[in-house]
Amino acid sequence: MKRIWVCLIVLCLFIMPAFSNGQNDSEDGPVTLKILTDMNPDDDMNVDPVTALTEELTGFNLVFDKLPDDPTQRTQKLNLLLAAGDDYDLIRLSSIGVAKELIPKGFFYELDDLLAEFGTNILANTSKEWFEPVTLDGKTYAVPIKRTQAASIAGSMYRKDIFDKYNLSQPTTPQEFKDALIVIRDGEGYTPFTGASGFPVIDTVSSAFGICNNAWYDVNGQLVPRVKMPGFVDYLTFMSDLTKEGLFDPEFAANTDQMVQTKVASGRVAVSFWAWWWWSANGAVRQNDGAEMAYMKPLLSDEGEGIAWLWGTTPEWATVIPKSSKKPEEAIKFLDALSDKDTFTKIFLGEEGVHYNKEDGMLMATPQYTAEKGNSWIMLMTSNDNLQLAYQQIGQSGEDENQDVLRTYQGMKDAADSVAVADPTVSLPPPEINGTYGASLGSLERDFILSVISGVKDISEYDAFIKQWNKEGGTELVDAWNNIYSSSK
Amino acid sequence: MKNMNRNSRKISPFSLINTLVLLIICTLFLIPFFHLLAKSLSGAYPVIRGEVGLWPKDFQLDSYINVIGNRQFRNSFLSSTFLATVGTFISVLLTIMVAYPLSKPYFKGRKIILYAFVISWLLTPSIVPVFFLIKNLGLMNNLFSVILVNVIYTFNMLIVKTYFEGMPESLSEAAQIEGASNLRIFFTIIAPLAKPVIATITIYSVFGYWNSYFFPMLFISKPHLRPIQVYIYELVYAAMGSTSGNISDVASKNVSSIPDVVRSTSVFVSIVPVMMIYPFAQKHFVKGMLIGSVKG
Repeated sequence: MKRIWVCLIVLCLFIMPAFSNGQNDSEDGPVTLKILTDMNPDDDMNVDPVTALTEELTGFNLVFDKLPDDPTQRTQKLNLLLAAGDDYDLIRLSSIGVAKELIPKGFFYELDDLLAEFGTNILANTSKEWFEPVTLDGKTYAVPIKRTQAASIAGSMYRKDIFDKYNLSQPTTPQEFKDALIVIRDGEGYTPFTGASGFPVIDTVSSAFGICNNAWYDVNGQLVPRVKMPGFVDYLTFMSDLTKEGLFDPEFAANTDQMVQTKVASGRVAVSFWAWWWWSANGAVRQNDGAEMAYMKPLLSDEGEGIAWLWGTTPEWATVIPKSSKKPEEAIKFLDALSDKDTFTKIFLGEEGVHYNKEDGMLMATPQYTAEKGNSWIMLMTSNDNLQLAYQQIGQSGEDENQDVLRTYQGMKDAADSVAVADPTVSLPPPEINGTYGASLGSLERDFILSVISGVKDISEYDAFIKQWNKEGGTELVDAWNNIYSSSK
Repeated sequence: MKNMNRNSRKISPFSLINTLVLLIICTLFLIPFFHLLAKSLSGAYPVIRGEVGLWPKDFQLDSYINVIGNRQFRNSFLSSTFLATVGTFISVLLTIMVAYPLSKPYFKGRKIILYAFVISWLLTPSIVPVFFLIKNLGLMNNLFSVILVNVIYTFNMLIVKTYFEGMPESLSEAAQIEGASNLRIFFTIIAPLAKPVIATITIYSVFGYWNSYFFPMLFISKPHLRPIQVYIYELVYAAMGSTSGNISDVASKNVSSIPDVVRSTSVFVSIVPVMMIYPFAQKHFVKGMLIGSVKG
């Protein structure tokens, strides 16, 4: 009997320290910063070589904790941690949208004074405009992180070999596109065109109708939601006709990203929506005999106009200092050290000839880069505008041996950049009621688009849909956004 | 006559159909399992192209070497093993020690304590107070937080209590006359006799801790302490892509994508322990349901 108790107590004493979270600052040693990030490579960043290098170069001790990847759970946990006043010194958020939502709640330090005193490198290396999205009432609450150039990155790809086989050239208008799809349909059993339900608006086609992945459009200085753009109905009519005539995948509404990649990779599809982060499927597509992927230019209207989603015109990520941190000065000093040109180069780019080589004006990563700095993006808690493009090129080229990331990104960008337009609301602070109505209106729109395109609903139900959209908060949301938009000018 | 009966039972169309139907249902359950196994043993390209059904294509074992060699996977596996062993030990010990006095009609305040258990079981508190409790106890980033929140599952406790109630009172009375203390009676007489029910709740507890996701997700932020289910969910989540609806969020993610093969392998390895325990534990699962259902 006694033995059980003794065993139990010994077991607890033995195990407790191994699983406790004691991280004590020693009196004289380097300052320890507790960092919470919401992105993690498939490994523990506390033991990554990049972390060791950063600690050596900046003189800070870094301890990383991780938030869940799932956005709902991430927000839930982050809110709880912030409300509980957990002692994190820095929080790196891989969605500036989350930062924008949390700033008004007063969880974070106002950084202007700290930046002026300790943040010379950050201020010198970050464009003033990048601070706009994280500014509230003239005060800065986060250090923005710009990761990539602005580019149009969610277009469509087509199988060049299939097009060549039927002597088709790249279509430029919806009619030409439809004609090409008819030829393919009547050919050897390919699915002419497919898309993913997560992207109900396919930029490549909708471009000709004046809409794209952007939710808002500037029409004569007024913000207009996509559902009220004149091209909305025309786009849906065109797409539902494609479905009716067997030119568009009837399973569209049920297609997940993964399913689309599988369909294209199996060689059965001629044209498909494609996102640049789907690069890992590119290699599988090429396994089909002679398969060659090309990226389609957005279709143009009869007047020769088009539009595509321009992504990345604002910083993608942000770093904040929660008010519960006891070392805000040290935290800013660390970010400032990270933004320094030499340190940034050593951590994120490495040495020419060792970590990267110059090829055709592009910086290409070597295998050593992948081994030593493959996870360097976990340390990206501030950015350096002058080195950003270099980092992007090296990072993308180092992702995979076939350079599919780089090729897909460039292909998408080259195909649509000429007509790409940023969402006018992207750098504005969202109105408060956006939290209440934004998501539900978004899914209402998505459901309507999917049901019309897949033939469940008829486009004649548009008026009823708009009525419902207005009733469920649409009218108020349009007014609220327009107030913010007009006051921002 | 007896022989005839036995013969007719052998070829009874009812049992034939029964067996067939059960076999079909069994196959239906096994198909996804074999599909996962086949994917984990196949090359990356056939998997993306959707060519792998129940038999691997471009057979390889590298994914297993990589997954088992992955530090994060090993750490997560260890965390879950810790939860399933230490957690179960503590949980079972506390459950039976709570159930025993509650099974004694002469124990004062028995009803109130019992109601307290049942009410807290039926009206699960929201996560906010639980989160703050764990935080104030200083148990964040400590695996004991996960053990603690599920340490006594009232349903299990009631099963054990009912089992104890079915045991003859004379057993403990006899020991009492011999001069044994309550603890001694419990550990040397009652607990050994309750082995079947202890086995049942042990199994529930092992699987419960092994499969726990929500509380570890909430309480554990240290990458190396994340239990296996949290790790696996993140691998699987990475593949779900834009289904969450926020396109900008997806686009700003890092481009690192984890191949389906690695994902399948990780999932498969994580269910191996459960698969190994299950055949031995299965009879207790069935027994557990019946224990206490009839009071003698």
